Amino acid sequence: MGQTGEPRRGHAHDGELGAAVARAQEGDDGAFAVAYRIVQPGLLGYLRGLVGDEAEDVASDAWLEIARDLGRFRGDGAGFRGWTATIARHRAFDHLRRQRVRPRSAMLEQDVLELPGPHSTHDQALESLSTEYALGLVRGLPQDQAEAVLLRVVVGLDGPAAARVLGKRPGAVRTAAYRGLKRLARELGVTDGVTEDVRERDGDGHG
Amino acid sequence: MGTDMADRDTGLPGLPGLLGAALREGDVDGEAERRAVAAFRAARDAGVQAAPTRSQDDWRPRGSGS
Repeated sequence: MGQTGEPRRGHAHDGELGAAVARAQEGDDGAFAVAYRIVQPGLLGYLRGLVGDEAEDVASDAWLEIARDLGRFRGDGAGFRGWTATIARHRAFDHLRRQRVRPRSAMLEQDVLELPGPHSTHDQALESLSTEYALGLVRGLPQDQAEAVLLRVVVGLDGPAAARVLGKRPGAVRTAAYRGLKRLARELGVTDGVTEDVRERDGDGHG
Repeated sequence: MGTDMADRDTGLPGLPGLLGAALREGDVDGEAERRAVAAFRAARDAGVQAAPTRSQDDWRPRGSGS
């Protein structure tokens, strides 16, 4: 849609990432390491949301597949984020099937219960957002909202790319991300700048 | 940080960026990186990276041609 060759808006490192991936596809192992370092923090954050403490093991499995299949990949830096997130997601669900654990069952309820009361100001809430606390909050969301939020704000995918990873329509994913963030804001006691109505701008007519 | 669009879409300025930063936190494990790079070298040297592109591997922006 109106993409004219300019980079899709996304992660700040997408240009560097695209260049590293292209060099890696020509066999440059140093470039592959560069791509790894750019992508891994977001991928790990996404996987922590799906499989909790098993995220590093699942990420390792995903990287074996990424390394093996790199020659198949076509796309730029933003595309590489989407491709790798898809691979990581498949490995995460394989892992969960093996564990016979559903993604939501490992939720860290305790983290949510240990929440301080609503914060008096926006800044106060956000300054105290530790990794574990943020993870506990996200894992408390319905799965579709959690994944949409993680892919958008942690992996750094745009709406259409997040939708492709999830196999859903962009409008559905946008709505899920919005609802998830709005719910997180409510749980954090952050209300300024948040409209009370859930915007259904894309009219994708979900149930 | 990949969050400008999320901010705009959600009307929640600041939250997506801070959430993203909090969840990307943590050291990249050097040993895990070495394993990934070793797997890359093994695949490269075995020639398996010449496998054909499947539809799920094609992430080129739509309309970019080629």
